[in-house]
Amino acid sequence: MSVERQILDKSGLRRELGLLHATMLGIGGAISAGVFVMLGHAAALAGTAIVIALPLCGIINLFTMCSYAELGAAIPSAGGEYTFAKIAYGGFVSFLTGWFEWISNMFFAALSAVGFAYMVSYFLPAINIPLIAILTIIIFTVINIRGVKEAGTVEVAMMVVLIAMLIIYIGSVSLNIPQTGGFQLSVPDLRGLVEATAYIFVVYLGAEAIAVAQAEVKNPGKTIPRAIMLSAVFLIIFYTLIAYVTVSAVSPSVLGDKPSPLTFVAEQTLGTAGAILVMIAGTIAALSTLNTSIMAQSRVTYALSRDGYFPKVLSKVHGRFGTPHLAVIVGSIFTAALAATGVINFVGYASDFGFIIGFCFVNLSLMKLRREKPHLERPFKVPLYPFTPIAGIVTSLMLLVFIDVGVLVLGAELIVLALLAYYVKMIGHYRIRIALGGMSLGMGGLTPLLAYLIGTGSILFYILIIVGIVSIIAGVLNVTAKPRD
Amino acid sequence: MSTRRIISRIVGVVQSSIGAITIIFAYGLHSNLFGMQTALGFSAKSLPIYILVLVIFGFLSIISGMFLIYD
Repeated sequence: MSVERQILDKSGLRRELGLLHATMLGIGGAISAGVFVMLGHAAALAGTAIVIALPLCGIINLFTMCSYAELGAAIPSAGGEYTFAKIAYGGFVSFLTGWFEWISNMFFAALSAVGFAYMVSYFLPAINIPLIAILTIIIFTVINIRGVKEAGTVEVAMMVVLIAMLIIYIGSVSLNIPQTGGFQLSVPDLRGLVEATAYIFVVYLGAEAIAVAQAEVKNPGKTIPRAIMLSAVFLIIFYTLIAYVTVSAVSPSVLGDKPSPLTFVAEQTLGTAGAILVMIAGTIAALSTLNTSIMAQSRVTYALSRDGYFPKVLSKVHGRFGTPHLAVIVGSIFTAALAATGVINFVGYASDFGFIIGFCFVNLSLMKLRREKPHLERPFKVPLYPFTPIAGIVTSLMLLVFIDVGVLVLGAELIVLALLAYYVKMIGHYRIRIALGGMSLGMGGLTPLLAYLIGTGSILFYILIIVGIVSIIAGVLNVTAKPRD
Repeated sequence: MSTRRIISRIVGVVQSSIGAITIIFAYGLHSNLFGMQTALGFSAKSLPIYILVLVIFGFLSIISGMFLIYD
């Protein structure tokens, strides 16, 4: 039996997501609070040519989305990028892909929860932001445990309201553009345009959530490619329209230093009611990305656990709800802890790094599978192969060049951490135990020496002697332990 | 339950407890709870190294103890 068939047969998840659910999952994963706050700085970099930068980002995103569509339709199993990399490469490459996917989604969820709490604080300034973020995570954890259909339905409802609000924003602002304003396309400075493209690209990230939850999509051969392509194209049109009306109403140089440029534009053109409308839309956007990210991280955890990289218990599927409930809970605990710390901003950039690395691996997996498994059933095929995946890799790597150096360092640290986790897993339980036994013996030998140096007679001396004896006994017991069958 | 297993569990619980107390102590030292830094005469310059050693010792003790508990 082929590896991909084995993976498909093992899944106990229910296929309950239709085209609408899946498409909304993609759109909801992408439209985060980011677009509400990042458009101003991007417009300051590119001027009115932001209306070129956004479709450009969308096209770069589309290259890789085509690869997601082909692989998702051919291998519709939980785990998305991780599963593709596993079948194409296996070993450390697949683990690294899953690792980044897992961490990125958890950070993205924490960012969304904190973003939501900040939006709420606009209306209720006295609230405790970490507390609200954690409560929100708990609510969405329960929704995600109760069933993928419930989570999908919540996503559809939120997306319908959000899209309606943003359409109202586009329509109302375009009707109220000041007479002195109006749109004039500036001659783009190439560097500014590229920098704006790299900066604003993150607003497209998250649409690949469809691939992560693909084991729960009905009729995956048709639905997955359609949902991925529909959400990718929709996002291009939608974002470009938002950018167009925004820079038409207010000069890009003015928008640059505004914390929430969309709110500012709405307030300038539509008054307080407009500002409140945009704030509510931002709140819903944050909630929808939180919902999608919790779902995505749990499916990656499920897949990594299924393959033995994470504890087996995390791949348990709830008998009644048909969801990987323990994977949802464990990821949500990490997410809540991240949301509570407040070190979100910097780590948030790391999630972008992780998503971009994931993009590269998906394109590479597609090319390897095309070469090595030419007869794999592919209901959808990437057009203009191999140009499209190569363009996806090159453009993704180009975006990394413009990422802050600190983020690249953090990304390198995450790779080292992944390497450590992978080799700890590969070494096995027994060898780790022997190594720890040796360390205990060493600590047990050093502690009495330290006690002697401190001086005999004091209470600390006797404490250290007891600690030393316990460590030596523990070391002997661990070193002489028999391997498990 | 064999004698070895009973001893393993007792030693494991004691070692894990020592590890947990060590980490709590390191945290107390870091936060200067009850004026610990002054009482123990630790200079601000040498403090990070003491905390690092205590944290490493604490974590290794907890993990080693857990292995013995779940022998």
